[in-house]
Amino acid sequence: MSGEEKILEVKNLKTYFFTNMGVVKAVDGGSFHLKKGQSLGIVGESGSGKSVTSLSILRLVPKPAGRIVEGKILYRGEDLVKKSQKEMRQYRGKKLFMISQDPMTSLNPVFNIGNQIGEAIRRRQNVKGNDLREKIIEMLKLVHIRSSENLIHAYPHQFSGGMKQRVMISMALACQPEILIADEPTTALDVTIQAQILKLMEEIRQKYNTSIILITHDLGVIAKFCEYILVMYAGKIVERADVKTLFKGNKHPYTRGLINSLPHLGKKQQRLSSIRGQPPDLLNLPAGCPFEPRCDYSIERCSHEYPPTESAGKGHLISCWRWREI
Amino acid sequence: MPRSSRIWVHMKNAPLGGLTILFLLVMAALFAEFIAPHSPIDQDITQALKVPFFLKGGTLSHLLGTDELGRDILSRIIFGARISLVVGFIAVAISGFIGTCLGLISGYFGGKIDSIIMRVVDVQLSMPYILIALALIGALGPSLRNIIIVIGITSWVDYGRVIRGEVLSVKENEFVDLAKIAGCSTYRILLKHIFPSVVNSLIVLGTLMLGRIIIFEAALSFLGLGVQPPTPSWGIMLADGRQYLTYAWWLATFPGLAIMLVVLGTNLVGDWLRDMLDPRQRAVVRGKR
Amino acid sequence: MQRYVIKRFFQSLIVILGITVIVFIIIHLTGDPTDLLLPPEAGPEEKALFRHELGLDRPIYIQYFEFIKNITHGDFGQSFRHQTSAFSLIIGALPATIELTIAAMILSIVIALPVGIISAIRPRSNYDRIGMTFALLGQSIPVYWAGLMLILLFAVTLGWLPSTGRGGIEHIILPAITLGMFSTAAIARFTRSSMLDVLDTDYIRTARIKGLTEYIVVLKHAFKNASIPVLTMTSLQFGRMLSGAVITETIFSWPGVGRMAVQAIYNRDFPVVQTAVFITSVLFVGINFLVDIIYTYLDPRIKYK
Repeated sequence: MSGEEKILEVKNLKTYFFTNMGVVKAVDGGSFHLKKGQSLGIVGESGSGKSVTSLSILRLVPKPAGRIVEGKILYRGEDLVKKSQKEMRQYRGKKLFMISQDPMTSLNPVFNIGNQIGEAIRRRQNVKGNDLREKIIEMLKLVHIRSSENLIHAYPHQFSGGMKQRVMISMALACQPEILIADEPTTALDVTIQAQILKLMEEIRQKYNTSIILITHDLGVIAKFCEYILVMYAGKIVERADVKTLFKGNKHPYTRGLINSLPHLGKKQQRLSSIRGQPPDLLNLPAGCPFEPRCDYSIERCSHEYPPTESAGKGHLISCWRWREI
Repeated sequence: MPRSSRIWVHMKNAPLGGLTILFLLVMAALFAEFIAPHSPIDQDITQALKVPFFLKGGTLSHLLGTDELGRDILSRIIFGARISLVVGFIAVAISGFIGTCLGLISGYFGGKIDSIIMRVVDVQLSMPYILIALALIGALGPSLRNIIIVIGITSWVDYGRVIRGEVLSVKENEFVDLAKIAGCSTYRILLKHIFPSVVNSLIVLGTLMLGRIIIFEAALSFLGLGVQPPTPSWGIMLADGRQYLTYAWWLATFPGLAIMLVVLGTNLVGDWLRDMLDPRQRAVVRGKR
Repeated sequence: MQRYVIKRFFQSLIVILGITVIVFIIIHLTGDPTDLLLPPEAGPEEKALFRHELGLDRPIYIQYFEFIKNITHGDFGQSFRHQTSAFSLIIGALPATIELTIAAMILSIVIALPVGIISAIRPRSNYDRIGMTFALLGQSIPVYWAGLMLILLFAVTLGWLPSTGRGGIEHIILPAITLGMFSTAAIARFTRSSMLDVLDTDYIRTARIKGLTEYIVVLKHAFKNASIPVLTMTSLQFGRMLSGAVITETIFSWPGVGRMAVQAIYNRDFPVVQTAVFITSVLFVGINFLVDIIYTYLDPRIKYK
């Protein structure tokens, strides 16, 4: 499935937002790597920093409040953090691409979709006129949209959410990126469409050996799609493991809580379990582990010292003082 | 974020310049008799067309010079503030009242009433308001009372549209439905539930409109169809100044400067109030994802 | 598309109808012209006869229909002062006003759009601050004062430009600047905020993700979206200019409709005033109608509403 070649290495990424009301440490020291053709999942609640991680990779963190304050993002050895916006344009649309959460707003409403897909195509090849049209039709076919002259001149508002997302994916295909980031690609869609989109993305991964980073809060999607998973909480990557280990052998209280809160078919359950407490206030994070207030396993040390990242097995990394006992 | 700290952030950004100007305006209007060095209407031909104090030949007794009838410019400006403010406030009140009532009715009841009122708004907006005002005053005769009424009538549209927009968005809120279910009378719903949501816009708009109405009044006076001499209106002073522009530039410059500063003040304060009171403000926290 | 155009056309007609009502009301407020037109010695029987001849003793709604009928034939009455049709007087003065308004509008757009766009792409920079400060000033300066000050500076003190009259380019500069000042400021501010809103959207982010140059992102993707509300604003400003032209034309003695109307008010020449109001308003309605049609080309979503 995926090779052993590491094409992306993120080291100690810190992306902060400087606001009138304080500093939000959206990503606080995240490190991970991505292999060629691998499907990596990032799971966490809203505000956990998963989206900001992807924006950081693309260097599209919203200015002026947001900034990468520290860390390296090595794409095939090149540190993207050090690149200027102009240099980043060599990567965006050619090597890196992202599909956003809300397909309803991701397409420009005043241009027809042929125009928008055409832009993506022309990033790679200088085609015009009829050749361009043919390529557009080809791209749409790859995402199973049967195109016609009318369709190419149609505007985004005339499409359904699922179709819009497929148009986005066809744009992604036109760019032929090495890394495709999909930020909650199915959250805004209904379940049947979700399955289609995921299937499409898997096809792409197989066919073109594209690495895919899938960001979501939906564990079901993660389980179906990802080979390796990062769990994020309040800007920190608290656990990372391959999919099987994560679901069966997880060792972080938060991960444990997440998995346990999934309702189980077939098993008798009295009540749904959930993680107690409130989501963290990113403006006022505690000195130690941010999950501490909600953690059933917390000890004194947790509230004032953040645990180091330790290895619990092959490819299984975890940041918790008490992971051995869990 | 607690509401009090949010208010504090806005207080920090208060436009001191604008607030100072408005404060001075109100002071001048209220206490003109005590502040002004001379009477605004006393003529003294021997003192005619004296230059402002900072030019050669100027004196400290007439800081901003005198006009062709020897009247002190500074004093006339100070008294002019009273006219501007009186016309301004009353006209704002009138247009605000009409506009709010019609806006509330239009927005809340919708349907035919809304269409009709909006048509009237469209019609009125299509017509050059200055010409209408001039025509009306030409017909009714220029007097302080008439100016205020005419300005009030021509200015209500701005309120009407904004208030209607506000009502439309508030109407969708659940608490309105709850009030209806609880059996509140329409009148009560409008007054107690919808109006408070709309008050903020009213305050912002009122501040901004004050500036525009002051300009409007001065425009009418400038064209001779506003306040009549010898009452000192800034507009009349400008009209006088126009005749003497080539050799007595101060007649026109200072009153106009006063108008500009006052309007600048209302704009600054109005913008600030809008940022503070409008719930749909651009997020102070950028990019929390 | 056609349905939309027809719908808007009929809406415009209704507005024009409303305008006639208001003009008619104003006419009647100006009172009985009998006393103006007849010599003061005229006795009550003469006045009654005169009124009857003018049709002033008939019921209001009949007078209104007469009024409408006359208007559709271009008959707005005779000017009291000059013995010609009010309509021809106004139409004669119209080109001057249109020339001035167009000049002011072009000036506004040419300055305001770049200022607004650049302010939006470099928010909070010095450039932005200065630009927006000027914009704020521009919206606070009364038209009449601006005109007088410009005359003071350029005509009186420097002697570079003439202060009155219509003629070559040098005659139109000062009036156009004066008339356009407020609009330039308003459009600049609005362009900035509209662009800022658009630059914040997901689809602009998509354009950036595609790796398009900033030039294309801003001018193609962002501006086309931002220009839609700016267009609305611009057409509103046009209407305001038609109003503001009254004062500007008076100050610069520009021979347009506005100046003629003001003179007419001084002379109590009401037919001319009514005609001026009517023609200007209809012009504005027409412009709005055209703008609405242009809209449908800019924003594809409109057609389907």
